[in-house]
Amino acid sequence: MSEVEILGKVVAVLKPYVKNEGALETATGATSILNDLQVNSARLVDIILALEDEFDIEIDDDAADSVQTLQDAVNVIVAQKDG
Amino acid sequence: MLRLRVRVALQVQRVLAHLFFPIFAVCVVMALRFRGYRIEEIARVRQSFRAITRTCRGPILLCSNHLTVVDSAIIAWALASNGTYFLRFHLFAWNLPEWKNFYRNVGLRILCYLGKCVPIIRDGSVDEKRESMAKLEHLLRQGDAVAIFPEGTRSRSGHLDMENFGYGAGQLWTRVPNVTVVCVYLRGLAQTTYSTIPARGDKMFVEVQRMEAQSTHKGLRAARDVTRQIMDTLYQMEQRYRARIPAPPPDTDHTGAADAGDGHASDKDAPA
Repeated sequence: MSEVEILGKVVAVLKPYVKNEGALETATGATSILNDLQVNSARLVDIILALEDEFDIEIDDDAADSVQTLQDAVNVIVAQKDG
Repeated sequence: MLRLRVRVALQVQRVLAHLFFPIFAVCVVMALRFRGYRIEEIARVRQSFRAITRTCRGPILLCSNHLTVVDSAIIAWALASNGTYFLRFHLFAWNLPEWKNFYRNVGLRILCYLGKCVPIIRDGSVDEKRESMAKLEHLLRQGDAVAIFPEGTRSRSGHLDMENFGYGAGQLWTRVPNVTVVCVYLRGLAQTTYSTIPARGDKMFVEVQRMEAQSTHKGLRAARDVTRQIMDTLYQMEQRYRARIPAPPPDTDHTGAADAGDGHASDKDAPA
């Protein structure tokens, strides 16, 4: 799966959690999940678990903590799939 | 792993807090009494908490709803006497005040320091949040009680926020063996929504309940699972509190003082 495809799936996973849906439509890898998409920080754990389910991977706590932008999420997923 | 310097600093804070506790506690309780606050059935509340502390094997994680900035002080006052805390200082729970709310001036800083507080920065960096969790984990492992508000902030609706709670309480449960979760529902009888402090002269309803948390999951899934169990327990406690408010007689106006004063939402507001 290419990074672009992964990014598309990440955006789909994020959709129920974002408050700024307009920003999601124009999201890029640099888009901040908390600041740009205005996701409640308390929901980051739900997003990580949803990504685990979507991509059938396990994301450890340290990797989960590193996810700030969409590209961070893509990188963690790629690393877990390759690993 | 928490750095040695931080562990030593916490231990020093604990010792100083214990030394100054007789003065600190008397001043805090006097201030609460000066405001006219009372705890409804305080003997029953303390008996419930005492029964829990006698039977639990591990450290206590107090989980409570959150409506005012003095909730922690009122809960501490309600759960045990100053004498009990002095003799069993591990029961006097560490708290996690938001840095910008409580560390504005030297007086508040000293109060928080002696009140066993570990400041957190709500929008802090990943490293800051990680260190705050590590501190709490360390304190629990040392056998001290820790108090946490799963909602993270005072509920703007005045009712338990079942949508926006974080999973910190569950994360602590997953990390510390044998931790005993004790849910506390606190509410001033005159409390309508959230506020800085309760109304002068308010009487506080307090209910304490030990919760047997369980999860078949691990890691973050277990943290989410357990935090939901904690929130469900607090929600049931809130429902019990609401149920005790007598319904108005059929021939009276339903906007009467009892309902309006307490500000309870109807069941249609309740989460599914």
